[in-house]
Amino acid sequence: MKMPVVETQPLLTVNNVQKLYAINRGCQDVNFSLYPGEVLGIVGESGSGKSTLLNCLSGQAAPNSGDIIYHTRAGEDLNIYDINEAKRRLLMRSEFGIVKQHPRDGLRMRVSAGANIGERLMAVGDRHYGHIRDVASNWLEQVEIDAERVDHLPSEFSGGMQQRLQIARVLATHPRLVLMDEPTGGLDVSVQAKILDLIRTLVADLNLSVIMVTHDLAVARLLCHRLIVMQKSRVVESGLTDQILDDPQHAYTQLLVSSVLTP
Amino acid sequence: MSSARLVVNNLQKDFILHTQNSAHIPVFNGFSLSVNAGECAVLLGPSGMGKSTFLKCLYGNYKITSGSISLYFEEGDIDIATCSPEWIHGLRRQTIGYVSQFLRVIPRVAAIDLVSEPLLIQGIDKDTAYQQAATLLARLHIPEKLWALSPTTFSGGEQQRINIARGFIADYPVLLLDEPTASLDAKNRAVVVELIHEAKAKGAAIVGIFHDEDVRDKVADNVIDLLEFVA
Repeated sequence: MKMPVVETQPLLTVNNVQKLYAINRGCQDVNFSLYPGEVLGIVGESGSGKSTLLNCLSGQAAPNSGDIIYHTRAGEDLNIYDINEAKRRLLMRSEFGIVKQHPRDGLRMRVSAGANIGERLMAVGDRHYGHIRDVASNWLEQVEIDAERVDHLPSEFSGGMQQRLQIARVLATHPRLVLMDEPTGGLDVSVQAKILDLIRTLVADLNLSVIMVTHDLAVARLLCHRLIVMQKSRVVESGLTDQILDDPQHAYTQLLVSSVLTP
Repeated sequence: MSSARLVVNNLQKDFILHTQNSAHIPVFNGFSLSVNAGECAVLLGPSGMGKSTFLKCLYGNYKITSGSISLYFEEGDIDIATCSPEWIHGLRRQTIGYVSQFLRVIPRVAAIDLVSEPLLIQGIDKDTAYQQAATLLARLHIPEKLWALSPTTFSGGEQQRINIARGFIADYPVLLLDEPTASLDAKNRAVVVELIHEAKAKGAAIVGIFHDEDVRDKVADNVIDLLEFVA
């Protein structure tokens, strides 16, 4: 039999990243590689350092030490905090996408749905109004928002629709790496299910790589290939999602898994 | 040993339950097994003996306490006990098929999509994958009107047949079967026996658990009593 072909060039490599606000507050000793097409979940309780780590990865908070190396479309390996601010911003706009937990933090609430998507397209150089409008309408349909609502303000949308609009805004520029912080937090279950199905389908269709913070192990099981479990600023366990959830090794992971009704 | 595809050497599995007074549960120890291409090894032993646990170790679902699980490829061998998650993913995509005891799938996904998924992730085009899924579902007597529905509301036997279809659709060179005939009627049991014979003819190395003696006698080349290795 033939050996499977496995991707050997990581998209993102994280080496000994540390960002501490106080003793054991923040994140430290974080090491992992993310491969193209992979969905990595970061799980752990509030205050375990999940969001701090995500902020480091998304260029929003420089770590105190350690390296975050991103392999660009052009094949360059960039240490994202070794490049200048302008270059980092361009990288974030063109290759990264960030989905916030609260759509209000990721959308501009005073401009239309179409303009929310168009703004991102213009940020990467699209200038043709007709084209931008077409792409925006197309993305609205992909996230199951009626294209006729392209001129409506996000504030006229429900919470679930706002989150889908945020996803459309982020994906419109074809990022290769998408970072999500609790993308379904605070939504009721039927709305959550719709967003999860949407994310699952888009990730597969667009071959996206995703790093997602979640405290919901059911969401992790549904979407993530691999998990890292954080407690008190450190990674206590990492591995395949089903292995972590079905045969957790660390005491904290066992507690986490035994605490949910249906993991 | 030249045609051995799967070699398990001195396998040990313990569970340590930290949240329950650190209870230490040894399952098996010193378990070794070799399966050749085209051969079906069947595990024996009463319920709770660790048969399913063993298959889950082979699939990378459970961590191994000690020992090795080697797969032999033309290009070399891989030890499941020590390989990285990316490799386990690769092995699950291309090499190892697993029919678990219970169907556990993403809700809201149609049966035909679930069955064609293993082919799609191997890069096979959608039409071919659907065609093969349809053929297999028909062979397993799943009525066509159910194909577009999510199996979460199917009967136990129907769910098991969806699981079987997912395990057999991709012609995996290694197959793990956890009581695939447990909730099937005679007609469908016979289909599963046929599928196992076909997989063996294509060279699959199979490890299975079958409580049904009749099925076991029809498919087994080698019977291993796990009782000897209970820790």
